[in-house]
Amino acid sequence: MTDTALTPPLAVLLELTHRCPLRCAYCSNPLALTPASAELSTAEWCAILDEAAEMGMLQVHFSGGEPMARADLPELVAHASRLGLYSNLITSGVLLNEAKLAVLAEAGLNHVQLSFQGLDEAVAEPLSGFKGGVAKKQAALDLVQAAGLALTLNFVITRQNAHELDAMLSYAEARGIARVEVANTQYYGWGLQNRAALIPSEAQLDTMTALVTEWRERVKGRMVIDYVIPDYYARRPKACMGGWAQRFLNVMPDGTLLPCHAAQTLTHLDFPRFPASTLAEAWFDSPAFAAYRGTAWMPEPCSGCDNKEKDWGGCRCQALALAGDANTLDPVCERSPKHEQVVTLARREAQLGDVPLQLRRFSYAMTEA
Amino acid sequence: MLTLESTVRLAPGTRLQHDKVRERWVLLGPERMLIVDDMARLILERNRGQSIGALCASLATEYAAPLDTVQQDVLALFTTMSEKGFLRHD
Repeated sequence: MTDTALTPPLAVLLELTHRCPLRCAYCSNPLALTPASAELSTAEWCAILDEAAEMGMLQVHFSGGEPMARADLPELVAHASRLGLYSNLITSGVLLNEAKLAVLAEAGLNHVQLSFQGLDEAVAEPLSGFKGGVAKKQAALDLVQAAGLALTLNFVITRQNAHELDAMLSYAEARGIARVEVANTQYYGWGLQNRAALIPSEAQLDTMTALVTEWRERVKGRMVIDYVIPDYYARRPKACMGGWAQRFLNVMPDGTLLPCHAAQTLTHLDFPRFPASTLAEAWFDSPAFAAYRGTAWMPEPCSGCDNKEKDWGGCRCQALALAGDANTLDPVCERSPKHEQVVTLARREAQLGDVPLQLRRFSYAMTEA
Repeated sequence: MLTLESTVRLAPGTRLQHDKVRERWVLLGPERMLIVDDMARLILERNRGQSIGALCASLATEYAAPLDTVQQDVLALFTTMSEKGFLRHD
């Protein structure tokens, strides 16, 4: 990709807040969570939506933390609707009730993505640090369906709940869900911190892959199943965010502008921040967004690889976290010299059985980082 | 499987939208997007809950195109869109 082909992002992901009633051990939020006092104001989020629409972005994802922890969420959804943006709410569902959902639907919300840690409270509670979450989520699902809103059920998978996949898909089918994401946790932020406790074994993954293949055939045309595996078990890396700074722009709770929600781990880059920087300035002009865009930055063997415009060199955060260098190969790629070492470690961790989980918390960065 | 007797409609949460900046039309859905060319857009806009067969017949007449070609094209388009979750069918 050359500079002349640089087009605006397709979607903006707003991490409205890092506050969340759940404390999931796999959370992809950074270890240093942003406190409520540093969050942008309603007017600032509206200004960001204005800029996103103006730039030609088509979709807005309201995320977090738990986006429903922001009392102004309906106002932001209404603002997005007025701008013609397609709005998606990425939620745990535990703060949802009939009245709140009615307000969001009235505001023009297009779609809800509801996450589950499975259907068994005994498994979900230790993973999320939240009591009675499954029942609350099932109630939320009922409400979203009753309101006639489009819904995606997102099943977040770890070693602890992988065995529930068939039950989870049966539940989705019985409820007439049109779209399910079978999303193995990706190991960033708190997830990376807890990888030894969370990563499934290859045997678990093989079972999941076989089930998904079978289910896709069975529900073709009625239910779409998206399937994401832990990339440690892939031969080639994932095209993170569809390529660095190619499709998505992320806004953190304090207005920091990123090509990917994990990118703040790349501390050698100076990421722009709203309102000092506009979204367009960040996207088109900032060195941080340009740093790994396209293929010009790539080392060998990436630059000579046939897959370079498919996986865009994988994930820079993962290269830094696992190989110690953001500019080198993503070690989940089989061509990386670190591949064997990294994957062997993950395989060993997958056999560890019960490992204590470190649930996310706000004090972490201050006490331990 | 879709047949000429089937009827299709946009799935909940899916909409056809003009992408002003890129000067094209897209189908927007949950975390997905499909770029639609002029022909696909026309077919989607003419689809008003009639059977696929009736839709094809009217398109073939209006554009003086061979009916079997129109039927093949429309079924292929709707099948792809259904499998990607953009359409529902009865």
